[in-house]
Amino acid sequence: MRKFVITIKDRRLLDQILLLPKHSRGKLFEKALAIYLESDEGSAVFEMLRKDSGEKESKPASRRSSNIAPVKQNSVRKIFGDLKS
Amino acid sequence: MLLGLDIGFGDVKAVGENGVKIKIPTAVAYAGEGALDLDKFSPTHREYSYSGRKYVIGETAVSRAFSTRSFDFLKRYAPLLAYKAIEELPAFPPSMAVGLPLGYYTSGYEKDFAHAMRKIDVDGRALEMDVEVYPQGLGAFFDYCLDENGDEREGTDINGLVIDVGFSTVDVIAFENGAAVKVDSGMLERAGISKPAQDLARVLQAETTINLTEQEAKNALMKGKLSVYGFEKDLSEIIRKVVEDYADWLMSVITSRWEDRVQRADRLILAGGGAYYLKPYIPAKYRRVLFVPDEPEFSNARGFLKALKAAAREKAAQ
Repeated sequence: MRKFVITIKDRRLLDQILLLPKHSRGKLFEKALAIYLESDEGSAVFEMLRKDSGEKESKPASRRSSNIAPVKQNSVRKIFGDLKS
Repeated sequence: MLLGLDIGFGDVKAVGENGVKIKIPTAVAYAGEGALDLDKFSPTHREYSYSGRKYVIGETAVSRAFSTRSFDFLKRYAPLLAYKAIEELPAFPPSMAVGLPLGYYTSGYEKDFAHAMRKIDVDGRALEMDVEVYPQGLGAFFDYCLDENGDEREGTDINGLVIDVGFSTVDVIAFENGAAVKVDSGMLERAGISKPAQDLARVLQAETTINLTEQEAKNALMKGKLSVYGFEKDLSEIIRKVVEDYADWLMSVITSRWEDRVQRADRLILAGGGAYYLKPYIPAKYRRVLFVPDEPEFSNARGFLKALKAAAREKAAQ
């Protein structure tokens, strides 16, 4: 299981979600995401993203810097949360 | 050389690579303003030409420093204070991360501030740097979550609050699953360590008729003593009472505004120069979750430096 932090900018939507008990908020997002993925728009967006990520994966290893230790991606952005002005 | 810089209203704290640490009082004054301009005969005297005037900075300016409580002060004099810190570094830093009080961390102020810091022109010497601006308090959270190389530490996907007790402001950053949460973060103005310093100054004024500036009162609070007519007056008992009252007040303000988050916190990170004074007076019920970093007054600057390192490595890895 992986955890994600989700930022909701729509205040009305946020207020409604906050009415839900904490343990069921994740389930709501899972369900909403599954419905979105099944829609025409969702499946098109994810197909496009899948292609993009496939292209990145297929780049030859020699093009990547070999002397850089692996880091958790975007740790600064993650810790920053939604504080960015 | 990368630089993490925290320009507080009390002190400027700078952390560079290889353990370089610098602390300078945030005090700026016009040079040669006294009735007799005898300053220049002091061996440590140093004047800085900036924006068409001459200034003294730091320890030399403490007794006649300008008031330091606004964004305008920061924007105008932060480049000069940064220059003073950079001057003391062993090498020039091409990249710098600097903090803004949370209440000033808006898109407009951030851009203005970054612009002012990118090109610093002092003594006819222009320094140009890459500048990242972060909210104060977040630096302490970076410091907690990232190790010395800027890698994320295990077990930092937690909930809680950073309570960053500065000289003038207290910045409170709420975090959830290891990420800052804007809607529940906030700044308490005039709630920093200047509050007990002013209380101390008031008591001393009543007892000794000595008027202390804020910076002098802060020094007295820090040293626990004051020199009066050549005698050293022990202030420890007055300070204990003043700080105890302040700790009670601050914790009640924080627990009433952030009650849910305090109750459910995995960690309460107490940072900033005020942490030194407050730590002994934090009620026992918070001790299990309380974390005070080493040298807490440097935690923001240290965190900014770690964030710079992490961002540089992430950029290089892409």
